[in-house]
Amino acid sequence: MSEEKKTMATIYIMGKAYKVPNTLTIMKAIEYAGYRFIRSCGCRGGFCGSCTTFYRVKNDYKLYVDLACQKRVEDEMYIVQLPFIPAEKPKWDLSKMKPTTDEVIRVFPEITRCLSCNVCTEACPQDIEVMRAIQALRRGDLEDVVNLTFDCISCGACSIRCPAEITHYQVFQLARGLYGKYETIPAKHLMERVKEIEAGNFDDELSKLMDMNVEKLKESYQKREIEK
Amino acid sequence: MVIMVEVLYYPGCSLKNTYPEFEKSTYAACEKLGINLVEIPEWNCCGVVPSLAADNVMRHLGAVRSFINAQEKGKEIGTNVVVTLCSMCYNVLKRVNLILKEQVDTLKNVNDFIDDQPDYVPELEVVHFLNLLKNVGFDKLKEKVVTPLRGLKVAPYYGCALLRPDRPKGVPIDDPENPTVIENFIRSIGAEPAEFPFKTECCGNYHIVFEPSIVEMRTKKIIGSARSGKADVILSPCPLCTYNLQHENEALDRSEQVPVVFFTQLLALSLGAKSHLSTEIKNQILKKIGGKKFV
Amino acid sequence: MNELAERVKEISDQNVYSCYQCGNCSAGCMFTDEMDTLPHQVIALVQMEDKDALEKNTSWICASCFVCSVRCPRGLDVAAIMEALREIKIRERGFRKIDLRKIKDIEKLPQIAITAAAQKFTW
Repeated sequence: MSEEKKTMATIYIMGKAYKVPNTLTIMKAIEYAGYRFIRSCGCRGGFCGSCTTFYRVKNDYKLYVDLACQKRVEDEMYIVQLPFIPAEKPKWDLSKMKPTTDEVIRVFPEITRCLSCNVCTEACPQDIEVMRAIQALRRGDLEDVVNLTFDCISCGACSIRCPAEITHYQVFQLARGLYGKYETIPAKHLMERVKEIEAGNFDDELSKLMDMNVEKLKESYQKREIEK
Repeated sequence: MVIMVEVLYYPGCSLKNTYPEFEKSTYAACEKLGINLVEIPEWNCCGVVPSLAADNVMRHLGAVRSFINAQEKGKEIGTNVVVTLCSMCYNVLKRVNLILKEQVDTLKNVNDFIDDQPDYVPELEVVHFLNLLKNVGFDKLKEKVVTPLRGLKVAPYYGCALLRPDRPKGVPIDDPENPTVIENFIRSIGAEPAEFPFKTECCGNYHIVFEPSIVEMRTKKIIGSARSGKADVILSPCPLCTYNLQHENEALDRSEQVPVVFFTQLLALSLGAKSHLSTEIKNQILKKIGGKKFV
Repeated sequence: MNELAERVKEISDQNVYSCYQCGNCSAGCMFTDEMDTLPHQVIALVQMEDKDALEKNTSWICASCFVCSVRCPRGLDVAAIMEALREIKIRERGFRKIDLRKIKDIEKLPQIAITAAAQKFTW
């Protein structure tokens, strides 16, 4: 194997071939090739779910999904990025709902179309057992759903592949919302802080910040107290 | 309890969400009968209605994944029998299992597709709880009854899923045109089966969602038939039928209503176990059988 | 075999030409009051390659109760034929029979009912 082959990989961006160092992530590789991101790029830390990327590899029929900022390139990788996954979020009011899985299904009746095909689990870049979580919802176990989906970053890879057209991350969001509101113990320090804010303890500080110009803001930020 | 029979148990969504009393009364009754129901871990939704398309594989997956989990659990506890309470689940699971036993190609297709689990070897037997009771023996059941429901007239409602279709062989738990297993069950717990010519009529099934008038037309006739037979309650083996019948009951006058109960609730009642019946219905039954006290 | 009958056979594995129009299925069907065409008549339409068979409301009123299949003297799974007629429409690109987000009285409906309707009327 030539020296170059050992350190470089051929990847295809928008159908064009590029040679990039094979230690780079997809995101870094696309920038190495000369592209500048204005979409599909966010925290660069595997947390925001913006950089959902689909790819195929030569001689492999499988369609893979991963986060561009986390996944290292492979030789002969064919890449496509989706700026976002379309989804229509229905309105819900947690205060008018009960913490049951049936309530979640009423907001998202398409969950009942789940075929247990498992493509959602295959697609998840966070290694979440997505199908298991949806079926836990069908089995009536809200707590299970919450525990299984804690790492969800709403990247939407599962939803775009789902034949039943479920938007899993929205479903899990509702499940966690219900569980958080009704089943978990409220954090005392959080309640106290909210009271302080409502009492106006921070109003002065906030209005001072809002009145500053950009230069003064930058200066204040550089001079801020990091440890208190 | 002294465990005489240990089987795998597939609950289905209704028993965990909508009608917990169906499951709870079953567990209570099983305690008295020495039956241990071992719930299949991580069971998936069966789909409620089987796909009737011969070219379908996708719609079997929920059932197959549940079978695989059942198979593995079954190896641990030493059984290959899967028992269901919900008749819709029974119908789907039984049919999928039969298809996989007969069609080698479909079995291979499904096993190849599910590449994250061990292969399913179609050796499980799907059994409805009524058949389990029949196999244990209705006469043995009668011996365990502490409060025979004498004086209670029960309309034996079968619905569709327990009796049809009869091809391929294996689905019906009794003769599809004139079954008697539920009547025998009713007699074994001391009650009297009511004359009920609409016992195998369809309640309207899934039409309750988008065409409820169809369900209303069917259930009106079914409840009317139960009323003509002077039934005190309608025995139901199916959560969807129960919902459809109760939906119609709500539209009727008090005097025309016939309450719907799950068969395991009557079973639990007769065995002296917790039936999880509503107070109202329990009192109605109490009145009929002569005011004995229940657990 | 005509194209429509061929397609029905592909999906349901049933040969509509076995039907000799005895009418047992329609006699046993409990939902004929709501149907514009009887089940055995729809099968006749398929035998004659009349695509109108797909436009009748028969297959949509069908509740998959299987009485027809049990009573057919030729052993035809009539319920499966009805499913094939539904599937031919459902599998068409852009065809949509139901909207799951527009269910009336969904607060009362149990999960089992919604699942049954979703699985029966969508792919």
